[in-house]
Amino acid sequence: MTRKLKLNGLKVFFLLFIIIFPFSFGNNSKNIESKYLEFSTLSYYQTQTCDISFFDFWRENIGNKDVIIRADFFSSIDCFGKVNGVDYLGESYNVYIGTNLNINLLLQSLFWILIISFIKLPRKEFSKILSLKKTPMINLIFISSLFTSQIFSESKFYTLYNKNVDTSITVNNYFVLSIFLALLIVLKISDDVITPRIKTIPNFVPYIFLFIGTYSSANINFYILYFCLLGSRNISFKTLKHRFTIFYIGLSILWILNQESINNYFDVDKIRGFVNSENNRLSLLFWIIVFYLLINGLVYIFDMSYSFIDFQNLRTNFLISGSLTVIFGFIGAFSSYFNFLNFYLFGLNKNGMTSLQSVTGNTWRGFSASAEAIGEFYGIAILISLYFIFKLQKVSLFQSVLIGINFFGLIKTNDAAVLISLILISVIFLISELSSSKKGAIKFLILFMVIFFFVLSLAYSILNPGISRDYDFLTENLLTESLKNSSYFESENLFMENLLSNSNYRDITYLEDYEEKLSGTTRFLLQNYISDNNISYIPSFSSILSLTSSLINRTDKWGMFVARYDPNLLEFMFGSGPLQYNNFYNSHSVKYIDGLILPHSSVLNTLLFFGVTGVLFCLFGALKIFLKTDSDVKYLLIFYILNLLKSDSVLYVSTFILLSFTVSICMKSIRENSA
Amino acid sequence: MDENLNTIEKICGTKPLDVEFTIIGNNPNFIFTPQNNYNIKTLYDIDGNIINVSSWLECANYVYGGWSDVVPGTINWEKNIFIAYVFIFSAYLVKKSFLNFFKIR
Repeated sequence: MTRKLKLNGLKVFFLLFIIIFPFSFGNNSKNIESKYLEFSTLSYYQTQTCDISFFDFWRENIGNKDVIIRADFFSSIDCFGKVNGVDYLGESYNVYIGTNLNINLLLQSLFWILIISFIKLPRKEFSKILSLKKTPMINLIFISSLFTSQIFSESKFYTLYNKNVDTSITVNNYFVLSIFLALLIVLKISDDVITPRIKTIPNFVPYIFLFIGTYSSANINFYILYFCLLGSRNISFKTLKHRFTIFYIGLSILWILNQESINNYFDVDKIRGFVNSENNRLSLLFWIIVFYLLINGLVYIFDMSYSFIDFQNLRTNFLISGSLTVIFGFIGAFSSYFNFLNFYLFGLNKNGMTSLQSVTGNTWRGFSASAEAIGEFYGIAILISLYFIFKLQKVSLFQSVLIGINFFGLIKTNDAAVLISLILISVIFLISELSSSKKGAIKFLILFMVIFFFVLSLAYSILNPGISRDYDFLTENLLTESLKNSSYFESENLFMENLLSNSNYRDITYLEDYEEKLSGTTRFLLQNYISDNNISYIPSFSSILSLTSSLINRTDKWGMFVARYDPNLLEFMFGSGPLQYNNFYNSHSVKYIDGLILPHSSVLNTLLFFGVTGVLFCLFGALKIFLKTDSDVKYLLIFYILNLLKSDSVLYVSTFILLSFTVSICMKSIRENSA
Repeated sequence: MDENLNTIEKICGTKPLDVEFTIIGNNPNFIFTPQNNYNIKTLYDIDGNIINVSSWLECANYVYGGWSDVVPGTINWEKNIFIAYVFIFSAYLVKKSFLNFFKIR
């Protein structure tokens, strides 16, 4: 016990060391002192860059509400953790703290690995069944080389985010050599610390929403790195001749052959760490391999650890993790210094919010990069808790407080879809549990669904007076939105506006530049809407889609998607490859839209990456799971899928891993039942 | 001149097609116009003076005049960090043998 306490004490010491030490060293040789930042000292800070440490600055500026701390990705190694620049923004000052990729890789990883090391090692008598052997060095070298190659394949991203990037292939290229070595060290330590605990790790999956794991200045995520290492262990003759692998290799060949290397850059923004930032064959190949290894690693580990999942423990971890994201989100909103530390230490994709004020759509994402993704996570934490309250008929005070915090987080995200699906799934579950017969349950379910959708429609009519009763508006809305986002509207176009306001869609098809200006998808919806083959009183496909998008408030986002999506036949059938946005964003010219606007539906993301084939594969896979699994986890999966239909959450590593985890539990239960 | 252009392009980026490289020299009346979509670059002279340039032409002229994007007389930090990592990795790999050695003693 004493030894264990000492060891934990040592770990805490190391954690504090990692947090404090790198950000405490100023330039001692110049003997420069930190000052309170105000207009009179602005020039002092602008000339004394790379001299004052972050903590020195903090000490002098406690309570300075005008300071906003930001990470300076483009810092040299010697300026790491120091004030690297100050911008005056009229009312506030942006203070940039230096971070550098060569250091980030090791420092951030050590922080996360130390946190994971607090998970108990299996006792010696269980270690044989609970532990895995260490990974061979050849795998470590392969994965390090693979991720180092990203510096070359996505050189535009790395040049933009890092100073002194050198993409020459020479023995003196210390930038690349140190990246390779840093990755090798990280993988070796991860293998020594995480691999012995790996079968109990799935019980701690919820914490990936707290420790996001994206490296500052990099397009890599810690979990992807480690799961790829596990995936490389799982490669054998058996996995290589598996039908999915053969199919994936076939698809990869198609994606590579169909790829047009126009080498443009895609601004990864909040999905950094899990998306291709460049359009070239090497980067496509990189993400094809990474995606395969990631899936292979996830399947390997979740399959192996199924029997060791403790669902009550998992529930508690969901609640604690959810509560901590709310608490750290608040701390980051109150203090800009903690906001920076949150960003760096938790590996956030994007800075957390700096105030408690809600933004667009009245949402508050707090700590997370996406309000929708974190809202879904709170929803899952609450759903699992309700399940256990129902099953065990008890709940502790501690759990009640945690549920309350998660619920508060959910309300702040303003994610109505989560709330509605939470009610829907809870009722479906209760009906199936409380009904004595299957027939009775189905009757109750139908009755509930009718009432549920009636109430929803009523609520929509009350909240959207006027438009909700205008059938023509609702059925044309998506088409109109996509036309408004087309290149016809690059500048003011009164003629086109007139056509749209009169719903004169047929005339648009007579325009000379119709095929050039509109994407294939917009043209398809347009033709479908005005087709003479449409049957009276039965809405066309285009109308149904538009009506659906209006009801779930997705018209503007889907409209932008429709305006842009212009695939060739191969792309439409098989997509552009995993995590490839470049083709979609750059192949068809549309009206200028500022910032990254994602499709806002995981179905549309799947369509982009894997085409119709991928969408059908997921659809039939989900159906198979619902029909065959007996596990109650299927309710969780239904909840997730309902929400993913209208959100991009699957593009975040945390959501992707949690979704894979949920699917793998269901699949495993099917296999166990059939065995 | 070609050799100069190579060095300039290495530091300032590829010469834009619509820009003619002319040597401005020390003309005090010439004002460099900032170039849209050009990322501001920091250049250093041999005395450690710093200048931020906001167009390819401005950058090219400074580089032609002997300025560079490398801070003069500074340490090669990438090389140092590489050596540090070699040391850390070696130490980590032999740590067990090292600890065992002292245990036995």
